[in-house]
Amino acid sequence: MTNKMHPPLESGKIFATPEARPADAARRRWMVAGLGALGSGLMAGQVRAADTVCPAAPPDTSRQVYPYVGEHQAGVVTPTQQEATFVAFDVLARDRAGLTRLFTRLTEQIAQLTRGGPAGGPVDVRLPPQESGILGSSPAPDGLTITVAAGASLFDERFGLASKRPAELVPMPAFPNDALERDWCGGDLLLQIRANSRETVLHALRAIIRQTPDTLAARWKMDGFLPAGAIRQGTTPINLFGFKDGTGNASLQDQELMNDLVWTAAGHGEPDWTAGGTYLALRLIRFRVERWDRAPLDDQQADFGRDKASGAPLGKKDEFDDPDFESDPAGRRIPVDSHMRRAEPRSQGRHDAKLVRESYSYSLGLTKAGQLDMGLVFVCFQKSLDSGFISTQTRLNGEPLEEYIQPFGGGYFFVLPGMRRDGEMLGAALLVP
Amino acid sequence: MWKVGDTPRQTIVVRRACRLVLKRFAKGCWLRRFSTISGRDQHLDRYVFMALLCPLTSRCVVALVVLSTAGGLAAASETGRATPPAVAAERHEVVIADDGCTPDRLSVAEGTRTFVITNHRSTVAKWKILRGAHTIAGSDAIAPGTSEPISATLEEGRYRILCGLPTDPKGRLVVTEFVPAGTLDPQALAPVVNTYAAYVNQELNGLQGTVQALVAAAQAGDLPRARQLYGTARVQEEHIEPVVELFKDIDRAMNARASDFVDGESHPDFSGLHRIEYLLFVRNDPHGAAAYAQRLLGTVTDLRGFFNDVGITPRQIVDGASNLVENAMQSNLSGEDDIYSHADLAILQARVEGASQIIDLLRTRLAMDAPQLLASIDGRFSEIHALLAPYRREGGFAAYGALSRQDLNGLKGAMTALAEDLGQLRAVLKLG
Repeated sequence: MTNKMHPPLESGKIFATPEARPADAARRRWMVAGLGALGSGLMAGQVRAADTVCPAAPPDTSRQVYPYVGEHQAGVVTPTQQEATFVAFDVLARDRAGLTRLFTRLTEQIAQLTRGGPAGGPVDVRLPPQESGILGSSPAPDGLTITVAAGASLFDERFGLASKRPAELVPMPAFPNDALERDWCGGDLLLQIRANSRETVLHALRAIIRQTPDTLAARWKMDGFLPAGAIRQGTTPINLFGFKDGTGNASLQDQELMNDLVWTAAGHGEPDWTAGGTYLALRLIRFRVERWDRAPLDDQQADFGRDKASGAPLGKKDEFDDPDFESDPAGRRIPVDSHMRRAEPRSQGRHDAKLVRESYSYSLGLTKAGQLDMGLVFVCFQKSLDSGFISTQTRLNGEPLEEYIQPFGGGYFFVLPGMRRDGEMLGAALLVP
Repeated sequence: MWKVGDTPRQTIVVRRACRLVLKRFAKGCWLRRFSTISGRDQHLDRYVFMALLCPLTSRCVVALVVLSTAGGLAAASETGRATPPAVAAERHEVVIADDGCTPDRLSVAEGTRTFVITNHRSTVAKWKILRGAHTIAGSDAIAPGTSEPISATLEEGRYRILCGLPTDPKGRLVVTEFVPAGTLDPQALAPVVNTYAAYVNQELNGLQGTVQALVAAAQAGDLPRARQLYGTARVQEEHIEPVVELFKDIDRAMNARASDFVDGESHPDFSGLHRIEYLLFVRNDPHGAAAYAQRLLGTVTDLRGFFNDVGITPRQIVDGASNLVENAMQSNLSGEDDIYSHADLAILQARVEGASQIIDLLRTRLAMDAPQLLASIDGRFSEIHALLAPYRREGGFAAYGALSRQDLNGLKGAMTALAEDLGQLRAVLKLG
């Protein structure tokens, strides 16, 4: 075991308190520690047996606050929360003034909801209540982030923003394996709402919808979730194919790397207002899970390029081992068309994929054929769509995994720069001349 | 080396594809369209695409690039996690005499191999293993009357041997695929592959004839006949879906559905069988369908060419049975596949027949190795057959809408159980 940095199972230490979440370098070690805990159940069991019968209760994370103010919006390089929802809206406002009103309202809601606490104002029983009340009278902040991103259609003729469109922001085209459904695509605005618990996400969504009846019409909505254990322990979440997803991600805490991979800077052909924003590519990808469960393990592992149990690159021992493609140029150990190798060929060093992934699993009802409708809300952030998502997806086109996946929706969006101080309106740089 | 089934599926597919490309280049003919040969071979596709873009004069150069890349690509596409043993268990003695090398034809298994070369000539001699112009291993100076051991790590493939001097006739070295313990020698299923290939060719012949007749009927404006021929073509095509799915571009060109495109029927890439179905069953426009039928004829011809050049492996055949059943569950049980002609029950039946055909090919072996599994599979086929029986009509099947909820569930249960059974095949047959 390589987790010398952390004795993983000392009671009370295995759970990272999110407020005191270690810097990402440490988080990476946490992941390794977590792998030890999960990956070799036998050893874990032995340690547990010697330790205590009752593991420590998970810490209460409901008071956790991620400040909404900053150069960048929260919810991009914020440590991944367990629950999320993604809602695309058509903007109903008819002109720039209406749009500004909408953004002002959104800003107020984001400030209020992410801080937590009662909505305020007198209670008048003759009126509808001010908010849903699903979190009680004084909602906890619960690690809530609300991230607002604009679709290409926001920059059409309605609001006079055509000249301000981010250079690479276009409607998402269909890739060869896509079967896009119009009702699951695009939108003028995308709200990404993430929190430690599902009810906090829903509370925020209901509050925002309630406050924007004449300016926003929901277009599609997808709920996402991640495994609680992985979030609590800082290990790589396992997706609904049963594979660890996100192992190769760059460290979110590495600001220099984030500036390189994620945040848009002035110049580079982008309008000035975009500085501090980022491109968001979202893909709704159905996993044919029932079929997958019947596929030989050999195929599953070859399709991903990783060992299913350990998450290690094939032929390696540990999840975070370098796949060492150089020693395997012909792909005898890790097939050259495996998902891992195509997505991150490491031909130029570590980060060929110029993006950061923050995906969530989804589970809806059934397909028309009566099979489980489950999959992935693939989300990635990048400084440039062309060198980020598009180039990665182009490498992935035709991958063997396509037999088991069906992208059916999503879109390209631009995450607006942050609200630099309390009281500054979301999108001020875009809307205020 | 080109025998079907002697390598993992991707290797042979890529190798054959390279050969196919070279052959077509050599003929000087433009490939109208080169299909992506299954998911694992995008790189090849890229090379081929580059080649297609190049002007005639540079074709040879490009072809060489493809050729020299072919070995790497082929190896690159293997999925094998079983690696050959690192230590040579065998030594191969070679004698260089004035009249040549003995033996001058060698066959060894993949892995690190040692050749002991004895020079019986009166002059210094060379012995080298060559792949194209590239030296894999060898010695430039074996002194007269001496022996020299030469070790080489060899991947499956064909090599030439420089024997004595560069001007001497070259020897041959064939390196056979390493078959890990517990894996069936792919040769054991060669008869299955041959029989399946014959079946595919028979269905392709039928399909080609049907589409030709469809072109004629559509051009003549004979709507009922064109509709009937459409149904026949669909059945013939689904019987051999495992082959169609080897070629992604072909699959798309033949089987794209409007639901694959965000703008549905109006998308220009919506062509192939379902476009014809749409024109015949919704627009009542046989003349409009004729052009698409003509195009489809070209696609079928391409498919024949690709299949006969590339072939199919036992593993692809066995996986094909699973895929047929999975696809039927995914799109026929929901009535989504033939949404305009409502022929999903007929297509479901065709896919099940395609899978059943594959099981029949494997019957002798399964009866030996896994009689209980075979009995279970047969039972599922009978169950499906019985469930479909009430929906049989003169010359075909009732429309999908006639399927009762109860029978739909029955089919779903039987097919899912069948798919689970088919998922055992690769292990039972020890296909690596």
